[in-house]
Amino acid sequence: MSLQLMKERIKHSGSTAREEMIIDGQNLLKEELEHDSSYSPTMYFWNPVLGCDDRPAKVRIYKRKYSSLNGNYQNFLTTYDNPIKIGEYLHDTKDDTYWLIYNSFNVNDVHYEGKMIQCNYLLKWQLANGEIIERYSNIVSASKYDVGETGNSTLVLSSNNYTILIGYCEEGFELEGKRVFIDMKPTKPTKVFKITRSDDVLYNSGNMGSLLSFIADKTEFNPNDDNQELRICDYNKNTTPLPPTPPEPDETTDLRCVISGNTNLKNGYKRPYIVKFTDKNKNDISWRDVDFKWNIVGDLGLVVNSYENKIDLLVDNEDLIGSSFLLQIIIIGKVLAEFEITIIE
Amino acid sequence: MIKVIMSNLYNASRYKNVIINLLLKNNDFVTLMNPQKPPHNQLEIQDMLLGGTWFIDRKKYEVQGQLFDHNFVDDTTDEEKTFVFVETDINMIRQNIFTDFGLYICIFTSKSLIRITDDTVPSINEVEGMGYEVGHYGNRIDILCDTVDRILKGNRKIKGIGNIEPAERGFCTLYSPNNKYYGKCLKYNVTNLNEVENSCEN
Repeated sequence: MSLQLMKERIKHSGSTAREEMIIDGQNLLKEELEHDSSYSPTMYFWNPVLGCDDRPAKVRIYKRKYSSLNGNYQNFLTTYDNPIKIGEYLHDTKDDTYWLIYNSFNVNDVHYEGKMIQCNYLLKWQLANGEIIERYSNIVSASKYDVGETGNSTLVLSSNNYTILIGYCEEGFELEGKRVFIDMKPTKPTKVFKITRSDDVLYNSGNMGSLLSFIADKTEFNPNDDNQELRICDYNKNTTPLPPTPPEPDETTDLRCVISGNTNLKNGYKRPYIVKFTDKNKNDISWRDVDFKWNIVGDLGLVVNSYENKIDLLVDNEDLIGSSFLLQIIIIGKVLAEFEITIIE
Repeated sequence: MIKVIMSNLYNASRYKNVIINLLLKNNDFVTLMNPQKPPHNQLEIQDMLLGGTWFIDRKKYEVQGQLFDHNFVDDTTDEEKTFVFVETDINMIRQNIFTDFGLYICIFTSKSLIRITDDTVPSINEVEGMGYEVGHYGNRIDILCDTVDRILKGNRKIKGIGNIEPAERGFCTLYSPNNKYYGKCLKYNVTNLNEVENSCEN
């Protein structure tokens, strides 16, 4: 009996002395993790996509410091069955602070320990498909002794450089070359930065996770392209995936439409024409809500490509130079708008 | 009686003033400069283009401006805008009788504002509506140069001997104050009499 029991015990505690030490360490830490004052019950994993707390992080926090390289940082320790990856976000609900995992090491399979840096700004940008992305970021100065101005005797521009760190995400790859607001003002931000450099390799730790690093250079605010309310630069409302739902228009009486484009169509050059719909109070109506058709009067053999609310016209015939035709919008068999186009050379 | 002393330098300054007023009165020019909406209803679009500091209702309003009578932009520029300098110089005084003035209008803008499309302010349709052939190509600087040229060429308000004319050499040159801005500089000539003060002595 005792041999059987001994074999069980050996199997349970590891086949080598090293394994036994590791298993002991794992179990001890698992038992005792929450029994120390350094354990933080208020730390949760933060889901950056959904923007909400996920499961509890179950970490011990120690060695809180500040460095000019990373800002505020603190170290964490957690059990072997809770691997925390670089690039993950943590949210401390007791003081509503956000942390980005900067370092994480598997220490002898017994526990994970590493460093997390405090996020000091919620960065927002718009993807090519119109979706708006928000990620907490750690921003530090990349040019501490810059005086804030650069220029010559004619024109002086503002100058500043930041290094931005965010957790690895596919959406982060679209940040390169984009302009973003980095401004603490609660309303009407004006400080715009261009992401001029992206260092994605530097913080790559393979399976242990990854950070994305960018350099942001101060640039000028564009009052027409930058949306201060949404805090997105170069805001493109045409690609927003969720257009506002307008009231259902009475298609024949309340609907107005305007065709815009060049009255001259150059022979051999494709030109786009756009239709915009409004109701009688001049509110915009999305083309998706209108059942319309393009029509061309005059059989001139034009090459036509229509998509969304646009139509591309191309004519490639020198004999037609000087003649003109009508571009119409037809709704329920009625001509709602007409646009005369002349073919030029 | 107040004695008004006419001099060459007075004329140089007056030309700048006349040109600036002519530009401000032209709707096409103002549209292409795209000034911001005035922050207070007592301020006008012209004030936004010229810039300045005002105290209204115990609040201070500061506008950097876009149209200047000197060839530098005061203050740090942190917004993308189009600028125009109106400057004069005196090239030559011939035989002490004729003074030749050079009038410079330098127009430049942030590189991102050069292209005029459907989405810009003004849009390509609005610009084509202004009636300039050059509007088709959607280059803000070229259109502004054409607009300014139409305002100034042969304009009788710029008083001199003969009309104001484009300079024989260097009428339209490239002008880029730094790597983020692009523009052109137009040069005109006007000749006037060399003002010599005649004092009557008793």
